[in-house]
Amino acid sequence: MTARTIRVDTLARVEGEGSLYIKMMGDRVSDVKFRIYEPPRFFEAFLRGRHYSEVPDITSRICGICPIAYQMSAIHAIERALDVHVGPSIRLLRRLFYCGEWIESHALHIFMLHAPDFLGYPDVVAMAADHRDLVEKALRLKKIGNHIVSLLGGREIHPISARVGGFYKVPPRSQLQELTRDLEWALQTSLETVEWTSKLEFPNFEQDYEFVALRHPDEYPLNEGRVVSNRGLNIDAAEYEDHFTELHVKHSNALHSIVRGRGSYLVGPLARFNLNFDHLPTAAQESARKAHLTPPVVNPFRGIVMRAVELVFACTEALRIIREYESPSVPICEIPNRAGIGQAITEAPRGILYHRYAFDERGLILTAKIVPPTSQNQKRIEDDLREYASHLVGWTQQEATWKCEQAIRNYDPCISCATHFLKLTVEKEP
Amino acid sequence: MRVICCGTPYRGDDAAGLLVAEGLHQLNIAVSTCTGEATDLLLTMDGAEEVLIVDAVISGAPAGTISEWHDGTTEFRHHSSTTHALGVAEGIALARELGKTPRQLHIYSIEARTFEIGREISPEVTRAADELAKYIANLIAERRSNIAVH
Repeated sequence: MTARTIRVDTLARVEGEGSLYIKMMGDRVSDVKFRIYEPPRFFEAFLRGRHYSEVPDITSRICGICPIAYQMSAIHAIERALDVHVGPSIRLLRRLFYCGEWIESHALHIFMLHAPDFLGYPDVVAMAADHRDLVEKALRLKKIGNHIVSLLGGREIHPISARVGGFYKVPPRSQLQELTRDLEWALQTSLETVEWTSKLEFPNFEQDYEFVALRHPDEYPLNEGRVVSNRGLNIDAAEYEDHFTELHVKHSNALHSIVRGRGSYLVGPLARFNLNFDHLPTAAQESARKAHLTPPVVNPFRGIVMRAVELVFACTEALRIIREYESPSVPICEIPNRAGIGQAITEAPRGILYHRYAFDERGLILTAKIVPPTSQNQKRIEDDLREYASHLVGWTQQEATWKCEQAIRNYDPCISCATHFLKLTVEKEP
Repeated sequence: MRVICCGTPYRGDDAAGLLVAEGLHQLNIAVSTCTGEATDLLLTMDGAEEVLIVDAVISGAPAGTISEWHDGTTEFRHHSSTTHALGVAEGIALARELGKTPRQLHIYSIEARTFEIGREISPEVTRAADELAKYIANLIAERRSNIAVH
């Protein structure tokens, strides 16, 4: 029996530092390690003792690609602890803020990180020589997303305007309306992107996933909703730790998440699409149907199409919000001062992001817990690789390695976000 | 001339560009900062006829060494110590492919000792950043005075 090892010491086109190791005996995969070696950053530990008002700005530093997700999960968790409810205008602005981040993140991944896999280029620089139009589209979409984020957040990277209870400053209606023309172009481009991505060649690979996403009674989920799955899960964010647990594995600096009693699960665009198709705007649903995609979509390589469908959603939703938005008389609601514990989950571009905070009567953080989407997908990525690698027996080493890397990029993993485990034992001499 | 200083504050000497930006701010020079993510670099360069980029590099030279390129054709290689999927090297290469390279591109680098997360900035890099900020400020001041004379 032939033994084969696929090893990638530094994964390319993913955010952060990770590696891949697969060992095969014949067509049987004997070992898979998706290793995250980027050092842990201890955010949960150094939040302790800080005031809850500092948490959104500190946690936003966890990621340069999805800082808004960290701000939103933190703010919602703290507001739940304080029983604070923001008004409709602030709620709309938060959704718009999140749409900006989804547009930035999805455009970057579709065109710059994942498209080279499907078109046969080693990277986007090589791809740009033949497909300049794709890179130009990505840049313009990214710029539009950046514009939304800087308008609401004060700056493009690590925005600073969102806070517990609202925003430090909100834009007037007229300023938001300036985005309309760009967003109309972005919507049209997104519709074309669904059509283009749906015609790419996808490996014939389908899995029986447990999809997990938020579900809101009326909306495609961003900031609010219950956690649901296709295996009957339907819980509030406060029950998250009763149903999910994290495991430390020796080969990774990120914890593996599992559904208690079941195992790996999948979060992100594929899960959201499958669990919330009925809440997508008509244009997004129609574009998916035209691409012959309706739930359940169980091929992870089609994640690139799901991201394009979500671009259609984000642009449509941003345009709706701009039409309906009325500037609130005050940008922030009253915040009571008291101790509390609060949990919240929002939908980061890569999937659900869980935050829990406990703080004392002075508002100082006692404990913090953050479970990013890449950490939740990590075990699922290994499960995919275990299955997928066995399909690659006839491929050359170089091709098999490329295919496995592509399988990881289906998840758009943000490794920097995921590295945060901390286990500290102090032994004191008597 | 648009000055773009790239870097992140949490990865040791990768903050070199940000230190230069801070020095230039203190000398009242307008400067843009950027994490070094390729698309953000491209968008920050967009439309400028002349761009000066400052970033930290690891090339094997002693820590704190300042290097410069002005021909616009040097190939830079992405290093794995950035956490970005696409970094400054790809940003410059993409600008070339897309015909978006500014008419004049100046790149100044400061040799780093470490990009390890959570590490302090090396003293050699701090000194070099201070020196480079003053050098760039002088460069800009000289140009302004030349323009004023003509």
